[in-house]
Amino acid sequence: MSLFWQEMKKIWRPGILTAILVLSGMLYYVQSFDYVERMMNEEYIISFSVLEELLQLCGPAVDRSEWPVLQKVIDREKKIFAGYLAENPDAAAAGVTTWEELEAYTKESGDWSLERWASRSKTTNWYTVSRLEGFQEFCKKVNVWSGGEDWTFEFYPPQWQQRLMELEARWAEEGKPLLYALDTDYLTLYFGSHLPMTNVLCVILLLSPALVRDRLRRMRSLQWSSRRGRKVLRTQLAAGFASAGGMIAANTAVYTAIMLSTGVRRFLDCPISGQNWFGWTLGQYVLCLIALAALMGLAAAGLTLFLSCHTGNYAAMLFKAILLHLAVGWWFTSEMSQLSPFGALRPWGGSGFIFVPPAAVYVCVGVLLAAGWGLCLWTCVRQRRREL
Amino acid sequence: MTLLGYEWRKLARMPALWAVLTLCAIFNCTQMLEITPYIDLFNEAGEAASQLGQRVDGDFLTGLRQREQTSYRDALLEAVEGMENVFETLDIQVLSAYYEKYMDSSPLAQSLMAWKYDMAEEQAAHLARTGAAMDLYAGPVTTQVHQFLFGNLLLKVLMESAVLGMLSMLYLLGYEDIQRTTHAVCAARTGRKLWRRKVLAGAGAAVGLYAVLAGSALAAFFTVWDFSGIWSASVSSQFNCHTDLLIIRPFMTWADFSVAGYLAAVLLLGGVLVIVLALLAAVAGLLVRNVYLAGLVLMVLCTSGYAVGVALAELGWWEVFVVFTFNPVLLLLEVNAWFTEVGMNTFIPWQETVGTVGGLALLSGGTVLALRRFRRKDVLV
Repeated sequence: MSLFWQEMKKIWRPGILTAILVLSGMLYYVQSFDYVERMMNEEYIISFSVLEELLQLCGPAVDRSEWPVLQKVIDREKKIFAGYLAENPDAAAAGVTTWEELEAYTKESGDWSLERWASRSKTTNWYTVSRLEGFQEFCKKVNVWSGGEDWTFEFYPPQWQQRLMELEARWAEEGKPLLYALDTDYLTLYFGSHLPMTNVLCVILLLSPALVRDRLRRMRSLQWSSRRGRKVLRTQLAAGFASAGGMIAANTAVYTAIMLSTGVRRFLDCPISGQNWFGWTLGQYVLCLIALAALMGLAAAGLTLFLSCHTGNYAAMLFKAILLHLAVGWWFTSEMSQLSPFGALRPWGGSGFIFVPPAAVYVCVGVLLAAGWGLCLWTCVRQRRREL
Repeated sequence: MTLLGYEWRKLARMPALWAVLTLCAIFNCTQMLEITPYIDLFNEAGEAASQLGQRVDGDFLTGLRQREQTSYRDALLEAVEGMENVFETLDIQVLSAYYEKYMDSSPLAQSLMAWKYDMAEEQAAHLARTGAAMDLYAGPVTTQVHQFLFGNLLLKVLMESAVLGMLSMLYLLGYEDIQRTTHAVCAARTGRKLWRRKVLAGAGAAVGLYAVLAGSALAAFFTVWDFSGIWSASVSSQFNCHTDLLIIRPFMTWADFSVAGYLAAVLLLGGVLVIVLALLAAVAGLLVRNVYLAGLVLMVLCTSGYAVGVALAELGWWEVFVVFTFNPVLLLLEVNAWFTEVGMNTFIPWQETVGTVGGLALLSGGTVLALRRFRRKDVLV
């Protein structure tokens, strides 16, 4: 056990941890801070208190009988918006006093300045009204995808078109999911793209020098000369994977804690909209994304440890680490983030699409994980039989 | 010279360097698939320019109408008919007012921005007199091709060269530690001076890697994209524009540049910028004796070169932002608009040139100081 903790101490160096902290902090600021700020201030999304009010009045799904309640809330928000317009001298000069008048004025005059003021200013509820109206329109649609509503419908395979129509029928009966009014794209990007990128970056930076040191300091021949020493690599790899797990857990805790400190936590039990075949709630969907991010981090750990084991100096390892991060941390995670756990259409060819089934995301991440861990296992087996 | 050659040989014997260099070269070539949709219209414009010249005037239009009728010729004709000298009517003060309003919390930033755009107004008047806007360049696909070449391909080449150059520098500076010969080498005065050779070798290697990457990328690009009719075009053609903060503006350079001249200037400045970043790696490598930690320090410095700029702009600390825009990372990221007014990230004319040369002077001085410190350092520490 003491050897394991010795190896852990060799991996968790203060200088490396400080650099990882600073880099991941900057990455968080550049990528995710904007989304979190919007969630905290409820700018550019629906007001959480209004959404919570609708949740209490109508439940997680809004059916036809609850449309008057929705309309009442929309009318009230529009009245509040009219109050903001009354305080704006430009609106008064243009003779715009209500939401409908603003829409008409913008359309007829082509002057977007008032619309820009309303949508950028932190003091109006433009986004709340806009998202409520969008949700109302969504509720009134009989067909969300079929019947020409969504031009990509034809690219789905027949059995998926059938599933989409079944979901439409279920929504028509039970009501449309309220979470359509909350833009969950932010959360998908936050947990489905930013978190895995950070996981991969931190794991690569932490583990890159881990196995280079022994080769650099010519410790291998000393280690391998004894039976116990031959097993050191297994302990080092175990320490590496445990460190990766710890790093991933720390990143996930930070990301999740920050997002949960916004109002999003109030809606974790609501079912999501979109192609929700499995009836997942927002919380379950986020957990799935977090799990995928963790698996990508562990896959990166396996690949990093393998490369580190076969590299003799830090500069060469830095070359490999940068390539690995670009391949896995950027390209792979950005490709995976465009695939949904429910299935997705991807552009293909000139103007066509191909359908990527739900399992594809898990298969791709699984293959990467198997590759990383498989290479480490192969290294262990090979090392036992190698000549000094 | 012999010691320098030995240092380069050490670098050449690192397989990872060649593997990464090859992958980068292949990656750069695959990027060209991105703009293949524009090649037909580009070829039509290039052939028309070869035959009729770059200046779009009455003779050009007559000649173009007489060319074989194809959909691309018609598209080109539609684009060039009714061309006007846009610099005659360009109101540059609109841009100035926009940025000044953006930076209204800082009189210094506002006054610098106003001064920059006053100079730009004079240049716009000069370009109006020369009629640069009436050059065809590549017709309606000019912006896409120009921005791909300078904002995508050359940006990637510069970034790859900078990274490879910095890592090569770190490798050379840490080589003696890897081979455990530091104590033996540093025990002699000549040995202590070896690190000066290493810095020169690293800088030379950075330029060499840049030349290889730029050469391979541009060779592949110009093999597919025939610029023979386009080299003499003014880059300030009205078909060429760039965007900053969602505002599209003409590509108005501080001096008259043809496409060939602009490419040469960008390549030259890019080479100097790569040396600047290699010297940054030299300072990091000399002060932080562990190669991996030095690499992490460089990563932090380069990332903060962008991230801190974003933070300063968000917080509205414009005085600090003005100084910060001279850092080499931000200058590198603006390669798609070098030698123009760029937008929010520059405050003086020719800022990328001033910043690069200033960075070279600063980091050369820093390297000299770091080398002096190293010469006196106890090797056992």
